[in-house]
This record gives sequence, structure tokens and C-alpha cells, in this order.
Amino acid sequence: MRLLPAVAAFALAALLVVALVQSRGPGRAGPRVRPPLKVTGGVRYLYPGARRRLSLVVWNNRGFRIRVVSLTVRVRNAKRGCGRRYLKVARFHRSLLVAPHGFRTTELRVTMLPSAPDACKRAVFPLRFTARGRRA
Amino acid sequence: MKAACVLFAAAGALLLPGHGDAAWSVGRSGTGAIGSKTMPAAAPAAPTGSVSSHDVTVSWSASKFADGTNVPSYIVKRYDAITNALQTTLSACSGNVGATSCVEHGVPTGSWKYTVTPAAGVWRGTESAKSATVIVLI
Repeated sequence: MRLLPAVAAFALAALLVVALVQSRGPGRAGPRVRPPLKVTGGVRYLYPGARRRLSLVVWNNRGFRIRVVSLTVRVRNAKRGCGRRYLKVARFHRSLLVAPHGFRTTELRVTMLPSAPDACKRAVFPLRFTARGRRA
Repeated sequence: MKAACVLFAAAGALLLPGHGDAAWSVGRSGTGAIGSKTMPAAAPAAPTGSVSSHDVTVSWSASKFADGTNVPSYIVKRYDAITNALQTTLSACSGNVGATSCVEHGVPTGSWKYTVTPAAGVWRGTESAKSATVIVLI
């Protein structure tokens, strides 16, 4: 019977640790907790004046439907002399509903400005996506 | 034990599904990339020219990017066939031409040669070889 309080205390401590990790919230979770939304995508073969569709895949890592309410794309400079100012990415205006553990695709229009210099030949502009969603 | 039970209940409440899931402001959600092309390395074939009075129709074959799509525009240049001096290209062939032919109107009497250079915005490809001589008579 002396063992019971010790076991209970151990179980309680473990439970609290798990609760603490979860209470940090999505997006700032610990190493084993995946963010609820994951966004991937890209486009190739741009040139000055060209307009292309940036294809995006939005993944739902949760077991319930998520409505994506905002999705922003941050473009970073490609290389010296080829800054992000030479690209224009349209804003995401839609409301996207993603099934539990499913994915949806969407597109944003991207344009390389005609003034993009020679430094932008064979350039790669890294992108960073930020999505905000709510449980649907 | 009472205290333990209360703590258990509190921890359980924190673990309930949906905690913190009502609305999110997620930080980084993923990464991607946008890539660009470069101009075709090969020069286009020399253009051809045909004369009708003082109008010269210049035609050439399309130049392609590495992925097989056509270059969007071309710069047409006219040279004096004897001195090789670059001339000012006249209307309908001046600036960026978005087709594979154009008609230069009001070309002065003389003998001329033409070249085309692929262009995309401010990017320029390799200039073609000169066309055969085009003679514009009085």
C-alpha cells in the first residue's frame, strides 16, 4: 500500500508533462507535435514579364476539419542583385476547408517583373508560408 | 490522495481534445521555392527578309527556352550591308516584337541585313547571324 502514492505521483507527473507540452499550443509545439497545417509548393520557369500559378498544397495534420482563414507567402531574396522585389505574389483571399488528415490544393498568381535583371537568371527565390486556420 | 485527484482532474482537463484548437495563429507552416529560367544559349537562325516597295517583311523562327516554351519577344536590328553600321529600326519592327515576323515600314533605299535577338523583359539572348542582303530600290 505504500507503493500506491509513489505510483500515483509518478503518473501525475507524467500526465502534467504531457499536458504542459500540449498547452503550448499549435505552431509552437514541442519536437514531436506536428503543426496543424503544413503548406508546400513552388513554381519554376519564370522569366521577366512571365505570369505563373504558384501551386500550393495545404495539409491538415489534425483529426478534424480545419478552415484556412489566411495564408501568406514570404519571398526571400534569391541572390545578390536579384531581390524579392522582382517578384509579385498575389494574396490569398479564399477560405479553404481541409478534411481531417487530408489536403487541399490552391493557387496564387506570381509574376516576375519585366525589370528583373540578368542576376535573376537561374535564380531560386526561397518561400516561407504562414497559414492561419480554425477548427471547422 | 484528495490533492492528487484534484491535480489529476486539472491535468485531464488540459488534455481534453480541442484544447487551444479553436483558432490558431500558426507561425511557420512550410517552405517552397520559385525558380527562374535563363535565356537560350543558342542563337536563333538568321532571319529572312522580303521587300515590297519600301516595306520589308522580316521573318524568323521561334527561339525556345530550355523547358521548350517560346521566348516572348525579339529585338530586330537592321545593318547597312556594306558598312555594317547599325541603323535605327523603324515602326512595327522597333522595340520588343512579340511575334516571329514584322514589317518595317518606310525603309530607305539601300542594301540591308537583319538580325534578331531573343528578349524577355530586360534579358537578352544571343543575336542571330545576319540575314541575306535585302535591297530596297528607289
